[in-house]
Amino acid sequence: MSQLYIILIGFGYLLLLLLFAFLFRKYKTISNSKYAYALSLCVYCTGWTFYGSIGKAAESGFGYLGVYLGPTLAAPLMFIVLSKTIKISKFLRISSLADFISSRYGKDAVLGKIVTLLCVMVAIPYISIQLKALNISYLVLRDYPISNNISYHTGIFNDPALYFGICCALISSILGIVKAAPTDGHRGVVSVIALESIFKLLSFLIGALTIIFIINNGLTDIFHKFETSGLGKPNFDLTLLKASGNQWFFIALISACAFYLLPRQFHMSVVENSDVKHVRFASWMVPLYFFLISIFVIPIALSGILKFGNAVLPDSFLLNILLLEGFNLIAIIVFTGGVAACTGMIISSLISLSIMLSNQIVLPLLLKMKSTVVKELEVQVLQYRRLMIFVVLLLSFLFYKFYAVNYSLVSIGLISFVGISQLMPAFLLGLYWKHANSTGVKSGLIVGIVIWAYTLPVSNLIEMGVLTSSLLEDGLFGLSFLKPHELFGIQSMDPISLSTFTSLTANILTTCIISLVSSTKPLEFSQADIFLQPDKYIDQNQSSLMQIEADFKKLLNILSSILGEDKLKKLLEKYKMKYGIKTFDDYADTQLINYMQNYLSGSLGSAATNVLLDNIVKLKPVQPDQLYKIVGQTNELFQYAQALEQKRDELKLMSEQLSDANNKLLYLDNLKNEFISNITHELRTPVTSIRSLAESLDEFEIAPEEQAKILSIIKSESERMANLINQVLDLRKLELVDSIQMETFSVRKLIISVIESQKSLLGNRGLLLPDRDIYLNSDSSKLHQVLINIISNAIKFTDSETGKIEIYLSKIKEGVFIEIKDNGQGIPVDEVPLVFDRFFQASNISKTHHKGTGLGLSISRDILQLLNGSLTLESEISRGSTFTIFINT
Amino acid sequence: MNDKTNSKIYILIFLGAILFFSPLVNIDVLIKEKCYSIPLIYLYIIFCWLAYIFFIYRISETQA
Repeated sequence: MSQLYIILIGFGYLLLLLLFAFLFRKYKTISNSKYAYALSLCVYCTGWTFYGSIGKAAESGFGYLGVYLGPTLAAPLMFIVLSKTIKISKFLRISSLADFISSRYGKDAVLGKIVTLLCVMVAIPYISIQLKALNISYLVLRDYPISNNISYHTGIFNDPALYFGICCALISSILGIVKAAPTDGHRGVVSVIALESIFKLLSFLIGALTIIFIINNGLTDIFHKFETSGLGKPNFDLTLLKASGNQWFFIALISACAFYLLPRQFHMSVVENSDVKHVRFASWMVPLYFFLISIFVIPIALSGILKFGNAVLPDSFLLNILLLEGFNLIAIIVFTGGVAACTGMIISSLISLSIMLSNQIVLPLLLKMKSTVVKELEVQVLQYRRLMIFVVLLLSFLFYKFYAVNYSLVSIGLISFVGISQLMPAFLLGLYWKHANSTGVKSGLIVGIVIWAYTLPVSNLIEMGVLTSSLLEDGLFGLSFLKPHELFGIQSMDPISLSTFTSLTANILTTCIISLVSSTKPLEFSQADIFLQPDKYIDQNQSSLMQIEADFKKLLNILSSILGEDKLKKLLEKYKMKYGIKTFDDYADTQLINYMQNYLSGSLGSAATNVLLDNIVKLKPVQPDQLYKIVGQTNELFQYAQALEQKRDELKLMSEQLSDANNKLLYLDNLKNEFISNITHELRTPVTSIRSLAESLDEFEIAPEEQAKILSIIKSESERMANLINQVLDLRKLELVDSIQMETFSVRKLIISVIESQKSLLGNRGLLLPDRDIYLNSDSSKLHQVLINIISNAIKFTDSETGKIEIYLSKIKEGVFIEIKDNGQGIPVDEVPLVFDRFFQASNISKTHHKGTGLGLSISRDILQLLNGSLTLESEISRGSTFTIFINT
Repeated sequence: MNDKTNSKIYILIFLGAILFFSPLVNIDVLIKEKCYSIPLIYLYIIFCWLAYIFFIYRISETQA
């Protein structure tokens, strides 16, 4: 194809782009739309996507996908992270990534410089691969049909990439460096990038669909041909993906980082954003774009292998297939799409890097070198930025000619991605961890950058022969654990994964540890609070916690020399309108200084603004009333928290008490039910017996002797019922503790009176009464009842002829013992602990006629407990029982 | 952005990571098995990618 023809097409496209950009600048509704915003984020897809992905797919199948899956997976984070970043950046008028990070960490100028230098180190190789892609696509079009030994090396001035680069630099200068404050938005740039994103997607799809459906018969045909060709094993072995599974993971990780943190990505997604709500649309539109532009890469790569094998550079398969099959017009469309992909990246990168370099390095350096403020600085800053655009372009072109030309697009791109990922800890910790400080972040960044440089770029220099290969083979200082590709003895990872893993781990750990052990400046605390809770400050329109002041006249002098008299006047009027202020005092207050600082930061960056205002702005001592207010608020909150905590504890205790009481009530309810059930059962038995005997007397003629016997039984059963009822009443009485009547009485006399009451039942039983007397202070009537229960039991269960009852009295320091011993039938040892349970009847009692109510002993035990005493029993079958009453004195 | 939406986002990312990285475990099967000569892994990735985009779209629709 004619050289002139190709050049005309390429440059004609760029000219057309410029015209469209001017046109769109007038129609703000288009450039400010969510569609333009979402498409501008697709600047992520560069010449690497257009050509490099196909080359990577031809080598390792799905290995290329990690670059798109990473940002796709992280896309939902746009709702959280990107929205927050945009809010902060708009509020503080942040103009670049370096400005963002430096501003978060106390407007640290050194940190801003480190970030800027890293971004330049990363972006220059990246721009260089775009230049390389432009050259490759141009050569393929010009020199087709290609030969095996085609040389992609051309002379500097014969290289079209140089001229494409110059065009990009011109477009960047014209469209991107219009206003000193990038935060005011460059609608032209957004339109250009959006337009290029549409064009590169359409041209790629046209090329891909032509190859799949016109040159071949669809996807099935390509896969089938490939399967039967036998080429699969060496060139397209999908199992490679399994072996490099960790690489896939790490590529996805660094790609997600790159999507948010590459200078051009930050510029388009944050600085050029016109409405934070556009993030919603972009969150799903961008992944859809990635899907469409990458899903046909595999069929194109397979088709390229089938047609060319190893004869041509895999990166150029797309163009070569179309030219081979005679689709020259489509090849030209694809070529122009490739130009769009490369130039879009170059334009956005040049703009973002020039802003960073001028604001973070050139301006602060210039202001420090000159003792007086540079006149009309805001105008001059535009010139510095334009100069920086050409400096970056020159460096990128040199890098491409002397270094990148030997490497594939993908390998250089991935090295850049690992480099930019070093900013992720500083970025994320800055948004979500208040303890992160500038000392920690600087240390972490330096450690991460050193490891990254040592494991990737340095080892590439060794491969190029610039450095000695002994470093790669033996490690630094001959230490094997310092081998660049086996760092710290890790041998199972490829260089990209190893570099990502070691550098990011060291970076994060260093940042966290140093942040925790080093001191944080007050300004860092103030900035950290804004970054962690931006909504609070945006709502109050307050951009700092720090109280500062400055001499008003000195402030005006500096501002007028930077902005010019007219602009300063307008700005002061705007300030007065916004805050309803009529006159200014001799000293500028925090609000005015913050307003001016924010305005200048938008144009010059926070580092240069700090240098400018550093000499006149002073920290204002905190006034007692402010301090009182802060302390008061804190104290109030603390007290409120304490009261809440106390209330919570009280509620917890009450809840536990209620639970206990409820359990107790349930237990008592069960006892009551059991008691009623037992009582009714006990009452029913004698009632049934009395009724049936009474019916017998009524219905039958019964002999007088028999009648007497029946009446005796009726009488006995009635007595039993009466006893039972009396004892139930006793139980009721027991519950009334107040009924205890204390008095001093003779225990011996009490025992004798009990024996007297039971004399009629004693018969011929032997009786031994205590020979000593003891006086006791207790309730004699209750003790009387206990003794009746126990002695009547002893009488009941001993033989009327041979039975013997012995009663002993003794006293110790703590109380009085009354021992009642009988030689009755006794009860089994294992039933002894049960005799005090209500309604318990010993197993051997049922064999006799002396069945009681089963309440006597239970009542006796309860009475003694009421009298602060106890009742115990020792018993054995056929050997009698011994009840011991103890009453505490 | 409320906590409920944040939780949905984290769950979606977690499930997405499982979906996208799980072929690394079963890749032999997914490569061997084909549907009209197209390896299953290719169809699997297309399906997962589109499903993931659909879920992001649904979350974006619930944003105020």
